[in-house]
Amino acid sequence: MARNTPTYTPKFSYFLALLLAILFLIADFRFQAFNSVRSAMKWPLFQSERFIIYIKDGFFDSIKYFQSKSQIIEENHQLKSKITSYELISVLNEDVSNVLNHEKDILNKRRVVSFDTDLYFCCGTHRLFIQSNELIKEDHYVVNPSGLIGQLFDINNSLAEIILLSDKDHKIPIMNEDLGLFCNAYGSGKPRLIFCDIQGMNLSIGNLIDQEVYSSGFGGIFPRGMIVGKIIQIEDKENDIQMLYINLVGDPLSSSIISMIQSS
Amino acid sequence: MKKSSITKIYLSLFFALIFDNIFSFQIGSYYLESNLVYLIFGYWIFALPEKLRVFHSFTMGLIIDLLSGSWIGFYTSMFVFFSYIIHVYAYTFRLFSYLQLSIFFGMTATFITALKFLISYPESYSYINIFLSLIFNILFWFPIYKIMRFYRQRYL
Repeated sequence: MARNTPTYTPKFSYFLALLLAILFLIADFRFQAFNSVRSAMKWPLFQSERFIIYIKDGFFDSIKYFQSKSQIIEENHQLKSKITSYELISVLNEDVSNVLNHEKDILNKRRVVSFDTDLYFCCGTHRLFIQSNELIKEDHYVVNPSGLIGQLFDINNSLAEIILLSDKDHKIPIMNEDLGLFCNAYGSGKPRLIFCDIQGMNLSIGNLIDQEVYSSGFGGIFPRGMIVGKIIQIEDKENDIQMLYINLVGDPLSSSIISMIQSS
Repeated sequence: MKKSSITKIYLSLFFALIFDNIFSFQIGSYYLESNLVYLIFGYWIFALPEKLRVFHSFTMGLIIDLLSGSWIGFYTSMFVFFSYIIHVYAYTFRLFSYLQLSIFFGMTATFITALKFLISYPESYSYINIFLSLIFNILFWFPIYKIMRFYRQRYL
């Protein structure tokens, strides 16, 4: 196709279009006017990404198949899946035989379809997405082989959005019964870090550092006694308030397999 | 311009957005931020200034806003603005070398990335990130230009 020479650039139409775009931007940025439209429109992009990754994986898998290693690969996959199951079982602290007999129902394993690591490392929004189905409901919490990582936040079309414990908008009630510590920890917006403010306890660093904290079960989602993380730092603030820095045991980057557990 | 050609141009942007997302997922831990969508949009406006005017710039920007999850109006305003700049200097660009074009498109792509960070994630704005993105965008312009040129001559 031959390229034409540009003749005339109408300033007015560009100005109008720019003005309209800026109005859209203000309406969305200031008043969140297009939130629902935006979340609905993300779905086809996720599906397309998944499709491309599926084709890419399929291509590489078929190369491996023709290299006569398919059986070994299959066995490897099965073993990895079993290892993941055992790791999940250890996280859940459940009876092994009971879980293995009802593995599909109890573990409800899912593969992560989208996790924006840019946002995870840089910003306060820590979310990941999985393929949803009718088994997934709003009162699910989420673990991976390293531990507790978050809870179900929203279901949109066939995607389920998981909010991680470190997300700025997330809160989890935690406790350490030995110390008599109970508080609502909130996400720091930084990877694997949550904060917890306590008042009037005057705890010393020596007593607290490396102490484990557990979910107290008072939020109605997470079960009581599940390990959440370890205290790594204490900061004294005004009005007799101390802020605890808690390093989470669950690392969302450690595995692309997660398990959706229904709160009992 | 034929409808099929317009569809192919829009599809190229759609795939650019997908690759942007997949690519960012892979390189995110190296503090790199790609902006293939803008580079490909810039190519189309640069290559077909007479065919792609304000309407298509606006529509493309709006579609990218909707699909990428950015604030609605962000890419729209950026696309309209830079489309205007490219149109106004269309004659000048024809005289530019590949290096000059790479620098121009790399810098404008990085400007959009920086603005996106400032508006959406101000706490993560860092000069090293922006600088690396600039290098990345400048280096990527030439292969994108060649690939898209081949695509345009072959399929449009």
